[in-house]
Amino acid sequence: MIPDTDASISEVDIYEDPPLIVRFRKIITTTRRTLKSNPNLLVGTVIIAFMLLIALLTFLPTKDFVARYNPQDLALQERLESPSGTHWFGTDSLGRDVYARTLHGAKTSLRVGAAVAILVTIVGVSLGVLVGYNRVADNIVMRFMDGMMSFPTLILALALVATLGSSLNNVILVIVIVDTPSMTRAVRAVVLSLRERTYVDAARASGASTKRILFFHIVPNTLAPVIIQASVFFGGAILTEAALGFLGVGTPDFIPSWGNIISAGRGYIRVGFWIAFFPGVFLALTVFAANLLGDGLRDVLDPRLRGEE
Amino acid sequence: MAGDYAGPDDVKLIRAELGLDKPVSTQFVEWVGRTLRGDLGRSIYSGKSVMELVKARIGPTLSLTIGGGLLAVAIGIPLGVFAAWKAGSRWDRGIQIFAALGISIPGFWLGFIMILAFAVFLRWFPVIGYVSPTENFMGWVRSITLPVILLAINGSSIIIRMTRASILEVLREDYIRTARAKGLTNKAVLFRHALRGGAIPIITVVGALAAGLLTGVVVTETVFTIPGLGRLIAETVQTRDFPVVQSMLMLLASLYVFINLCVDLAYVFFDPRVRL
Repeated sequence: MIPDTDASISEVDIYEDPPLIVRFRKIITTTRRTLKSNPNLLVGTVIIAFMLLIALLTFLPTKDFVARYNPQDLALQERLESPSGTHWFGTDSLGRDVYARTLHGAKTSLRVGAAVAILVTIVGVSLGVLVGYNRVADNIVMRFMDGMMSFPTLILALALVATLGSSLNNVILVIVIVDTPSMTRAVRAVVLSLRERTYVDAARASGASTKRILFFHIVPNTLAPVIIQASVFFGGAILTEAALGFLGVGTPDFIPSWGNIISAGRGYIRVGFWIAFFPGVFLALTVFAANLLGDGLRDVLDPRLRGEE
Repeated sequence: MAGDYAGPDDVKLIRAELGLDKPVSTQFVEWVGRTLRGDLGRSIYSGKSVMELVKARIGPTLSLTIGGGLLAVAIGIPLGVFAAWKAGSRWDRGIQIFAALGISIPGFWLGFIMILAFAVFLRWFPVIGYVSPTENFMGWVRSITLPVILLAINGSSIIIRMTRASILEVLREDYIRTARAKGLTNKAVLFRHALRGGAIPIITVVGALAAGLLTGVVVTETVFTIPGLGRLIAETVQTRDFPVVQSMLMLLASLYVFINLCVDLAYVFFDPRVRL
């Protein structure tokens, strides 16, 4: 609650929240302590923050300074050059600078990851709460979700992208579609167990409406599992986007993405292995960091699932 | 399909030939009918039936998935149990890092690195392609070694994580404490009590592994240019050969559902408390 500034200051209310600055400091210390006690979380956060920084710098006007070249500039007389002082990660089969393309690829990957995580959370939580609270909707929606879950996700995504056509937005849409069932299922399970809790009974007994119970008592308590799931989907989406790009149906070539750079470099393994090598390092690091972040968040938010006692 | 100089009549003809001039609902009903009668349709391009294509390409895929699956189980379960047993130790940490890397590193990139290191530089294995075992047995072994290892790295990582979690849970149960209190040796506690109790969740792993393999095989066959079913899907998706894509998806989904059904049935066998 935001401290009420109109309240008379003479009366000391022990229930009043401490001033903002105090709470802010407390958040900082807790965050620092949590990060220190959990190496997974720390490493994951640092790597993701680094990639976010790259994405931001290549998005802003600083892009030509950071990436050194325009990722689309063709220079056919400089094709397939190995890494050197002028082209740090070498050049590809069209003479484009791989370093510039890799850095710009960060933008694409993180955009896909973040968009998918956010959209899946919104759709999954809404559906999960709906089906957790409504028997009829539960039967209809969950049978549909079961059907979708009977396809291995990458293969379903492959088929959907093929049908819809390759574009960045379609890639995002498709990954959201294939990830939604598992998010819905996770939220539904939490909602089903929460609605039987005594405090929900208590809220109902005190006359709270269903809407109020849902938004004040149920949804906030799904937050921990949802955050954990979302961090997993963030990494998974980046990986799926890259895999689709690699299979040649993902993000179109004029938007550099780690997947399509690797795909383009695949044919040049003997004469230009650097084309696929460097973006792959970035991709592997980012997905690894996202998974570490997920594990770390799970340890912090849900101690029951922790590996060690 | 019709070529660059096709007039509207040619297009109309092709549409009629493929049945695309009928309403979508009619097309769908006809497709369901054909599929139920076992006719999976024909490729738009090569004119071969899907069954022919599957028959021609199932060999490599079976070699890869069976090899990769077995290797994944052989590595994953012992390492997972060991990590749980030594929870918190340096070994545990190392195994967990391996599993985390195995899940995070994209298969198509790792495959590329493996080809680069073992085929291009060291020349131990062929760079791409597949040799049938009836043709040349050693050639077959050499051609599937790298892809099988690639599939197993990812598969075993999934297994390690699930096995470790389930064994840890079992180790916290009262009956394990009882067994320890009775003075049983560590070995007896692990093999006679913990593993038996942990068997159920480990069966679940097989379901997860199946999904991992089915997805992995598409990517792996593409990296190593192996003419299997996975490559078939990737190719037909690129060329938009929809009848093949559609039937392949349905076949894979049925296979996946069937495997999960077997997993559920296995529960009944291993755990008398579970009833059908």
